Amino acid sequence: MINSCKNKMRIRFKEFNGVAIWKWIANDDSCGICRMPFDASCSECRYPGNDCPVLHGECSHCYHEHCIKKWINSQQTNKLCPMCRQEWKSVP
Amino acid sequence: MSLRPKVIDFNDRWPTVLDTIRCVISLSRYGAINKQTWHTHIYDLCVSTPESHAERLYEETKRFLEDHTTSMKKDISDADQDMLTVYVKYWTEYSSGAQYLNLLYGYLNTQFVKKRQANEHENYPSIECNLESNDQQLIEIGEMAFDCWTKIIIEPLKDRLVNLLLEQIHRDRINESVNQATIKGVIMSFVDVCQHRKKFPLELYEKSFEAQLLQATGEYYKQEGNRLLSVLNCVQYMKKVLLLLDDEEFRSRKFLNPTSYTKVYNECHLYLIIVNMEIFKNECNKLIVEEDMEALQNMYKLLKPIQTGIQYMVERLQDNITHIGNEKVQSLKGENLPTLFVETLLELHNKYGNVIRDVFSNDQEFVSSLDKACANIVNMKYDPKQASKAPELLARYCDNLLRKSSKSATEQEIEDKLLASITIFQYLDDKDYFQRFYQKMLARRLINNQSTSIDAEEFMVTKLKQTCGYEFTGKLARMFQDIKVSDDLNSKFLERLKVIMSADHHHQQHQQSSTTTTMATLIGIDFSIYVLQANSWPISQTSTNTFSIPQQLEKPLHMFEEFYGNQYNGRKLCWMHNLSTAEVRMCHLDRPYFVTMGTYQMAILLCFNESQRLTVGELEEATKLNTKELEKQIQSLIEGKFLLGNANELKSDSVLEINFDYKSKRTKFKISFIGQKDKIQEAEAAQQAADEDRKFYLQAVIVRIMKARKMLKHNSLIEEVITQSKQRFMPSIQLIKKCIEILIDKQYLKRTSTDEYSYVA
Amino acid sequence: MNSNFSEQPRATVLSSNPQTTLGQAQRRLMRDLRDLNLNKVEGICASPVDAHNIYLWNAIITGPPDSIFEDGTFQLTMKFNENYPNQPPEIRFVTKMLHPNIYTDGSLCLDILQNRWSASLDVSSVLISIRSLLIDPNPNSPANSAAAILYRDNRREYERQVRELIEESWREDLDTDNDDNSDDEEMKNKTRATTTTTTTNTTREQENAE
Repeated sequence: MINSCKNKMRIRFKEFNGVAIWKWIANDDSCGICRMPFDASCSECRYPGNDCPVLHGECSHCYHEHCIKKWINSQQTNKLCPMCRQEWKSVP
Repeated sequence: MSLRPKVIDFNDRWPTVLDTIRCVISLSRYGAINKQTWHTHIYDLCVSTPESHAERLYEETKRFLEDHTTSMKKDISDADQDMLTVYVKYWTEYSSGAQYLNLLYGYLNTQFVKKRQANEHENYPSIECNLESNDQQLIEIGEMAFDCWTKIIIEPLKDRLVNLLLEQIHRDRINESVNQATIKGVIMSFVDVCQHRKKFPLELYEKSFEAQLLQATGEYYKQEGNRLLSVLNCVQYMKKVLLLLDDEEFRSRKFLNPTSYTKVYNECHLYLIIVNMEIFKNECNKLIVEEDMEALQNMYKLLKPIQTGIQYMVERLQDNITHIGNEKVQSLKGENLPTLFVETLLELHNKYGNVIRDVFSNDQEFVSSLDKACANIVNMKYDPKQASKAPELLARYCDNLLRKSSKSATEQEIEDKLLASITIFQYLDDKDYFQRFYQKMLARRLINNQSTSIDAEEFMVTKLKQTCGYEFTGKLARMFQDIKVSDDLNSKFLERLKVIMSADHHHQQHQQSSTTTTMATLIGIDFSIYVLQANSWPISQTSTNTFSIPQQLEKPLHMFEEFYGNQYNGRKLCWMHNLSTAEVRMCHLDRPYFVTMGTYQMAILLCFNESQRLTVGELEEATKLNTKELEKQIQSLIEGKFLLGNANELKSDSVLEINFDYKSKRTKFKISFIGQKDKIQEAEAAQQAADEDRKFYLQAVIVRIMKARKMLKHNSLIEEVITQSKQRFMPSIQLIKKCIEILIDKQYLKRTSTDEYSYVA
Repeated sequence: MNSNFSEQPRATVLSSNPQTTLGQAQRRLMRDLRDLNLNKVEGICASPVDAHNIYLWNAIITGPPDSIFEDGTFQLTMKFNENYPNQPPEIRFVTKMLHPNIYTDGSLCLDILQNRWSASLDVSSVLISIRSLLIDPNPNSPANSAAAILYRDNRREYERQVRELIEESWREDLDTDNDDNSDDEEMKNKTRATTTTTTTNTTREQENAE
C-alpha cells in the first residue's frame, strides 16, 4: 500500500490564495516634478494610492496627477511635458 | 353725605370712633360696624375746617393702641407658665384686628400719612430714615398697631417667651408632647409683626429667637452626639444620625420660619458629623473592604453635604479597587491570558460600577475614582523595563472574538463583548501600541480569510473611530476596502476566464453550465487573489525574496497579472509570496490530509514529488529562495514533521527526506509558516518600529507647539506635549526630553536659557 | 518609511513624516538640496543662505576648464517662490560679469529661466546650464550689447577683458581675506586700482614680449 503511494503524486496542489500589492508602472520610480517616489504620495497628499494617482502621457513620461495638473494650469500657452517638451496628452 | 368740609368738633365725634375701634381690635361683634357712617366720620374729621383733625385723630388712635397693648401685656405676663398660650390667643386676635383697622383707616392712611411721608422724603431725600425708629414720623395705622405690639409686648417679654419656647422645643426633641399650634404661633408672631418693615423685617426674629434656638440646638446635639458615640459603634451611629437629622428637619417644618430650616440643619450636622469626622475616616476603609453597602450609603449621605466630605471616601475606594485589581491581574495564569485579563477587568469594572450606582447614586467623584483605578490597573507595568502588556492582550482578545472558531457565538454576543472591550481600550495609555497589534492581527485575519463576520469587524472599527477619530482607523477602513475590491476582482476574473476558455477549443468538451464552473474546472486549481494598497497594510514592501513560482501557478498568475493590468491602466502587480497561502492534498500518507501552508513551504514540498530525498542545495536550485529564507522554511517543515532532517544544521548538502509516517488527528488544518524564533524577532521589530513612530510623532508635536508659541519654558512645553499626545499614548518625560534634544541638534529649536526654548524658523 | 537618515539636511526628516506642514515648493527645494549633496556635480555648488529661509540660495559656479573662464569663481543668488517648480527662480550673478547674455546688474537672459522653463528642472540642472552658457553665449538675445558686440567683432579683446575681470575678482577675494577693517577700505581701493593697472601693464608687457 505504501509502496504504490510512493509512486503517486504525493503533494497535489488544491487551492491558492495569493496576496499581491500593486504599484504604478513608471519608467523611473520618482515623479519628475515633485521628486517624490511614485509609491509615495505627491508632496501635498497624505496617503498614496488611489487618492494620489499617477498619470501617463502619450510621450510615455508619467507624473503624479496632482503635480502635472498644477504644472499644466500654470502654463499660459503651450502645455508641454516637462521632460520632453512635447505636447502633453494624458493616456486615460 | 356731602363732601364739603364742615366744621367738626373732634370731641364730639371721637367717642363713637373709639368705640368702633375697640370693637374692631378685639374682634368682638358688638354692634355691626356701619361702614358708611364710619367712613363719613373719618372723612369729616380729616377734612374738617378750619383745621383738619387728622393729626389729632392720629394721636388719639395711637394712644388707644398703646393703652390696649399695655393691658394685654399685663395679662400675658401674669399668665406665667401659660404665657405662651395666652400670648398666642391675644396675638391672633390683635393681628387680625389690626389689619382690619388698617383698612378702615384707609382715608387717613392715604391722605394724611402718606402725604406727610412724601414730604419728609422730599425734604430730606438723602437721609434713609427707618420710619419706625423715629416716633415723630407718621406711619400707617396698621403698621402702628404692629409696632405697638412689638414695643410694648414683645420687647419686655421676649426673654421669658423665648425661654419657654426653647423649653418646649427641647421637650419635643425628647419626645414629650407639646402644643404645636401654640409654639408655631408665638414664633411666627416674631416674623409677622415686622413683615411690614422695609428693612430687615426678620431682624427681631433672628436676634431675639433664632440665635437662641441655634445655640440651644448646637448644645443639645453636641451632648447627644457624644452620648450616642459612647454606646453605639460607627455603623449604628450613622444610622441613628440619619434618623435624628430627619427628625430635626420635620421639627423645623413644624415650628419654624422657612428661613431657619437650613441653619438648624447645619447646626445639627456640625455637631453630629463634622466634629466626628475622624471616626468616619477611620471606619471608612473597613467598610469598603467588608463591602458593607448599607453603611457606606449612610456614610455617603451624611458626608456629601460637607464640602470635601466625601473626598476621603473617594480616595479609599480608588485605592481599594486598584489594589484588588492589581492582585487579580497579577495572579492570572495560563493559556487563555487575553480573555482572562479582559474578563477580569470587566468584571471588576461592572461590579464597582454597580456599587457606585446603587450606593453612591452615580456621584461623579466616585465615577472618576473608578476610572482612575481602572486606568492604574490596566496600565500597570509588571516589569519596569517593558511596556505594559495590556495593549497586546486586548488586541488578542479582540482577535479571538473576531476569528473563526469552533465556538459559535451569536453576532449579538460578539458585538456586546467588543463593546465591552472598548471600555477597556479607553483606559489604555499606549493606545498606539494597541493600534499596531490590532492592525497586524486584522491583516492576518483578512488575508487568511479567518474573519468570523465582516459585519463584526466593521462594527469594531466603527466603535474605534468613534472613540479615537479618523486618523486611527483610516488605515483599517482602507484595508476593508481593498478586500471588497479584491473580491470583486476575483469574480470579474472568473468571468473573464470563462470567456477566454469558451473561446479556446480545447476546453469546449469540458464545458459545463455556468453555475458550476469554478476556477478549479477552468485552470485546475482554486484561485483567489487579494490585491492590496501597500501603504495601508502592515506589510514591508522591501521583502524582495527571490522565488521561482511552481509550474502549476505560473499560467494562472500570469493571466491574473494581465487581467489586472487591463482593469487598472498604469498599474502592475507585485507578488507577496511570503504572505500567500496554498492548500495541498497529501496523498502519500495513511490517509489524505488537506493542509494549508505558505507558498514557500508548498514549493519545497512539491519538489518531493519528484524524489524522496533532496539536499538543501537542490531545493535552493529548484525554488530559487535565498539561503536564509530557505532555511527558515525548511526548519518549519521539520518542526511540523512533514520532513525529516536535522533542523539545527542545514548546509547545502544536508539531506532532507519526506516523512511517510506523518500522522495527525485532524484531516484538514493549517500550519504556521513562521517559526518560534521568528515570532520573538517579529515582536521585537514591531516594538522598535512603534517606538520610532512615537519619536516622530512627538517631534512633530513639539515643532507644531513651538511654531505657534515661539518661546516656551521647559515645563510648559512638556505639559503641552503630554496634553496633545495623550489621546494616542502617554509619553514618558524622558522620551520627550530626548526628542527635544534631537530637534535642537537639527536646529529646529534653540535653548535660550536654562529652561526656555525658542523656535528656529 | 525608508531609513537612510544618515545625511539628510534637517528638514528632510520632517518631510518624511506627513504630520507636519511643509509646502510643495519647500519640499521640492529640500530634495534639490539633498540631491546636490548626494550627487556632487563638478563646477557647481549651492545651498540656502541660512536655515531660516529656504527660498533664498547662494550658488557658486566655477569656470569650465580650458576656457577663458577657467579658475574663475562666480557667485550667484537664486530666489524661489512658493510656485516652484512650476515657476522658475530668479537668478542673478553677484560677481561682476562680462557676457553677452548677462545684464550689467547680473541678471540672466536665458531661455530655460523664462519661456522654456520646465517643472522637471532643478537647481542642479539650472546651474549646469548656466555654466555651459558661459562658454557658449547666444548672440541672438543680447543682454549686454557692449559685450555682445565685443564678442562678435573683437573676440581677443572680449577674452582679455573677461580674464581681467577674473583676476580682479581674485584680488578682491584676497583682500577681503586679509583685512576686514572697513576704515582701511579707501586705502585698499586705491592700492587695488594701482596694483591692477600695474599687473595689467605687466601682462601686456609679457604679451608684447612673446
